[in-house]
Amino acid sequence: MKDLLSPSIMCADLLNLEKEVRLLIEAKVELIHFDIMDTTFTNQTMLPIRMIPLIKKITNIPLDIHVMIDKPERILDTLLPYCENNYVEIHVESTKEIGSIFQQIRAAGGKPAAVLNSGTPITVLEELLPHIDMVNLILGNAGFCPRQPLDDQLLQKISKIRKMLDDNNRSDVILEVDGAVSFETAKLTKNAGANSFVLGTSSVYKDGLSVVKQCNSLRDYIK
Amino acid sequence: MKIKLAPSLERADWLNLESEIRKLEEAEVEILHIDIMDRTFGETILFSPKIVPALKEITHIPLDIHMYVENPEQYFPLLFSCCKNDYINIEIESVKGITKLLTLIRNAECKPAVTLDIGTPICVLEELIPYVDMVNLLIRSSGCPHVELGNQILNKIRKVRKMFDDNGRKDVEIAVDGSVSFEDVNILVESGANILVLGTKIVFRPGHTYKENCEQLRLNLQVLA
Repeated sequence: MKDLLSPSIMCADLLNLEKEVRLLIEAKVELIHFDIMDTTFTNQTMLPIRMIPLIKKITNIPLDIHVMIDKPERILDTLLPYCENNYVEIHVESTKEIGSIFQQIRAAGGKPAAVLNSGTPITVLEELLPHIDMVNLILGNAGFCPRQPLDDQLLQKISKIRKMLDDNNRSDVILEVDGAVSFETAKLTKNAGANSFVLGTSSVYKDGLSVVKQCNSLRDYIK
Repeated sequence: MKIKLAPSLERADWLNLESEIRKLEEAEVEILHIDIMDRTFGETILFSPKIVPALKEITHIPLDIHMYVENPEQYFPLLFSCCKNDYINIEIESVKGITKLLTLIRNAECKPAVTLDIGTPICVLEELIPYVDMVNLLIRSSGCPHVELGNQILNKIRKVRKMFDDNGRKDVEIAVDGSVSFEDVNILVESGANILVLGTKIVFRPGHTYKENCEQLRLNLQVLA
C-alpha cells in the first residue's frame, strides 16, 4: 500500500496559508491534515470550519479533516457541505452517534474515518468496519498533551488494527498515525502496518527547513 | 478624541493574513480587531489565541483582542507574553469575576477592555469605571447585518460616554462593533464612539483598496468635524 503523507496545516505559517498550501502541492503530498478544535474535546482552539472551502479553492488535494469536538453531531450541519472528497475523522470517544454521523458524511460525499486516542481499545471499530475508509490512531491523546513514548503497546495496537482490517476484507482502509510523528516514528509505525502519516513540528514543519525537502526526505527514509 | 479605525481580521483573506496586514498598514489603520472564538461562548470557531504571537511578530499596529470565549483567563499567560499595550477585551457576559480579570490585564501592562452585547445593560459597567480603558459595544448581531441603528443603541453609546465622563474617565475609549457602514459612522461618532470596528461594509468593501476605503471614511469624518 502506498505511503500517504498528510502534513498538518495548523503547524504551517498561519499568516501565509496560501503559500503553505502551494508548497504542499509542490511536495506532492497525498492529503492535507486539517485540525478542528473548539476546546470542548481538547484544550485548544484551532482552524475554523469556514477555512475549508478557502483551501479547496486552491487545491484538489483531499483534506483529512480531524474533528476534535465533543458531540460533533452539533456541528455536523456546518461541516457536511464541505465533506465531498475529503476524509472526515470523528473521534469515537466524542459521540454516542458515530454510526449515524458516518452515514451522513458518506451521503454528503465524504469519506468517514474513525479516530482513536491511544487508550481506546480497538474493539470500538468492530461494528464500524463496513462504514469507514480510514482509521486514525492517535499516538497519545488529541490536542496538545505530554508526548507518549512509542512503545510496544502502541505498535502492537497498529498491527492489531491492520490485522482486523485485513481479516474483514477491508485491506483498503487507510491506517493513519497522528501525534509527534518523527521520521523514526513513521518508519516504525509503517512496519507495524500504518500507511498514512500526519506530519507536524516533529518532521516536516521544522524551523528553517523546507517543507518540500522534508517531505521528500521522509518518503526516502520510510521507503 | 481621536477616531481610530479597527478593521476586523475575520473579514480579511484568512489564507494571506500577512499580506492583508501589509495592506492595512498602508491604509494606516490604528487598531487590528481580532475575534478569538471557540464554541464555548460563540457559535463558531474563529481565530485561535495561538495566532496572536505570530501577528505580533509581523506588525506594530496595536491589537484589540476580543475574547469571545468562556474562561478567557486560560489564555492570559500566552497573551501577556506578547501583548503589551494591546487591548485585551473580555466579553462581559462570558465571565464571572470581571474585576479580577481586568486587574490581571492591567498588571500585565495590557489595556483592559470589556465588550457588551446589544441586550446587556450598561449598569454592568458601574463598578468597573477605574478598571477599564475601553468599552466595546456590539451594535448589531452578526446574523442581522442590515438592521438600522435605532435610538436604543445610540442612546446606549451616549449613556456609556456620559457615565465615564461624569466619573473622571474621559480617557476611556468607546468602540462600536457590528456591520458599521459609511452611513452609520457620523451618528456613531456624534454619539460618543471613537473606535470603529470595521468589516465588509467599509474597509473590506469590494472593488476598492483598503487604503481607498479608509481614506473615504476619514474624508466623511472630516466633513463631520
